[in-house]
Amino acid sequence: MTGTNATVRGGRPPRGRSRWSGVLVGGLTAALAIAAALAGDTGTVRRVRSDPEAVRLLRAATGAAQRVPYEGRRFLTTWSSRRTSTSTVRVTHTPGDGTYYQSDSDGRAYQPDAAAFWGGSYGFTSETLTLLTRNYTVVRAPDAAVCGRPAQVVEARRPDGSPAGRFWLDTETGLMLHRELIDAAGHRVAATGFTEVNLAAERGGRGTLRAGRSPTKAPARTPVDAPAKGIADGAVPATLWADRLDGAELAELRDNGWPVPRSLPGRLKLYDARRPQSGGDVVHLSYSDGLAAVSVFVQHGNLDDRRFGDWQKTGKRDRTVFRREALQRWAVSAGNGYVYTVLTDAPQSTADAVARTLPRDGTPFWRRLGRGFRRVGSWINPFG
Amino acid sequence: MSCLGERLTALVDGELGHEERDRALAHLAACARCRTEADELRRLKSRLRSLSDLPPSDGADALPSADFLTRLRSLGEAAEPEETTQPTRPLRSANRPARPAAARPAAARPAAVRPAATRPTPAARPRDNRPAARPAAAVGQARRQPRRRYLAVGAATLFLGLGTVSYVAGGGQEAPTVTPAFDRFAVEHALTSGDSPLTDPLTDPGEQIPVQAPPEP
Repeated sequence: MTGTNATVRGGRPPRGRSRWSGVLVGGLTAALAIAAALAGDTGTVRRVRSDPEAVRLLRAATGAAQRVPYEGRRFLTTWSSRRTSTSTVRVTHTPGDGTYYQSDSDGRAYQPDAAAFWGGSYGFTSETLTLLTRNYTVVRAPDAAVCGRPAQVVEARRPDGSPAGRFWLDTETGLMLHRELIDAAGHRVAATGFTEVNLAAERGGRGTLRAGRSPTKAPARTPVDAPAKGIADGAVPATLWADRLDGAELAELRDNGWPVPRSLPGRLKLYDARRPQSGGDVVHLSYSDGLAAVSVFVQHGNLDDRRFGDWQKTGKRDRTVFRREALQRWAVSAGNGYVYTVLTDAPQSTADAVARTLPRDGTPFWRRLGRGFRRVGSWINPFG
Repeated sequence: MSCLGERLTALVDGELGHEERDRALAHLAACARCRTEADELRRLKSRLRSLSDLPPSDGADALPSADFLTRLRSLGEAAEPEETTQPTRPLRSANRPARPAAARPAAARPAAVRPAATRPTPAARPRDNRPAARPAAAVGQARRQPRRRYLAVGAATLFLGLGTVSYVAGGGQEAPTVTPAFDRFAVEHALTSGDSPLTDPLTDPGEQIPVQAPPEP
């Protein structure tokens, strides 16, 4: 032992200490790497330098959607590799009252302002704006015109500088007139906005149209105070599920086995969760990265495959996903006694990835064995 | 008792005088019982003599060996309950050759705790014609082994049976079958994403209207 100590003191570093130092350094490096991974896009956050004026315009659009009376025709168009799908609807908004919708197939709906989830049709919540500025660089783009009205353009860019979304905001009122979602290849994925619009004056000058488009060129439109008429005509109130779940309720759901992921692939974060006031075994989870909105509906139960005869059935990594690409993108999967319905305007690949990520069944043998054991236990349990 | 009494034993041992011996032999010729007894005595004597012809041990013949005492104790212990520390390995046969004495420091271990360790080597002791030293202990353990075997078999049967019953009982689905309410889900999504709540996403729009080209920024 003495000889060994003498050798160590003689200059060669102690082998055990060197090994422990290596382990310590490696551990710290791994911890930092894990912390960076858990933090998600911390690097992206630091890289983002959004234009405060652009962010202000988007925030102002939330208030404008509630404040500005308007009428016109709105559309939703989605692009896929095979076709383009468009849906249009006539819309009339009266501040303080609500928004009246009428489709070409004579479907009618009425959304009262009091029950609006956020700033009307195009509004951003503080959560989605935060996600937008966190994941993208929000900057101003050259002004343009929509429906004959001058508009300020805001662009959301990816870290590599490519555009991911664009917003056209009415210069005079701040109302969002048009918006687009763009994929990484530069192709438009979804667009929504007005094909024609008439903006009425503020409360003080009601009845005075200040729209850019000439009233004579505008199609026949519903008067601004049409919602009451619409309701009288039998418009169906369109309201969100009233029971919004807070953090404690979500934690309770998770404790009860409900799959409620905090995030999904594609930097999608959970920002809202709600369920019907009457209860029921369904929860609506809203995810967003600031641009794309993804809804995940979780139901307790098993999936009836026969219902999806005309859906495209895909199997990947032992996971069956039923998908349908119509105007919007749907994907349905099941696992662990829950059925997941994914709905989004984002590309179908996003819906598929989300449906495939959600919890799947465990090993069928052990799951069946455990279920049977619980049943047998309940049979012989006199207090069960 | 023979007619000759102690003289019969003396005859067998060759301790009688000439005349006495002649008289005794004459009696034996006439008395079958005494003759039979004399034959038994001779056989016994012959057997004892054969025992004494064995090679002498290490000079400890005069006293009972430790092995002998140990075996006597083991006979008594066999009737008592077995110690819990008794190993469950198969019993060593009495005829199995013992390990070399050098490999087992028998003197360092108490004979009562490890009787087998004190067993001398075959070369150091007389040939053992007696029954095995621990037959009773072996019988007791052999009786307990089936009991353990039955216990293990019972536990395995219970495990397999319960598993089979659970697997069969778990065949059905636990949760009810549900169908997503697509229409309602579409409205819910539209209200949170800013879309029109009137779109019918599951019906392909037959009207493919041209969309006004958005202005390029």
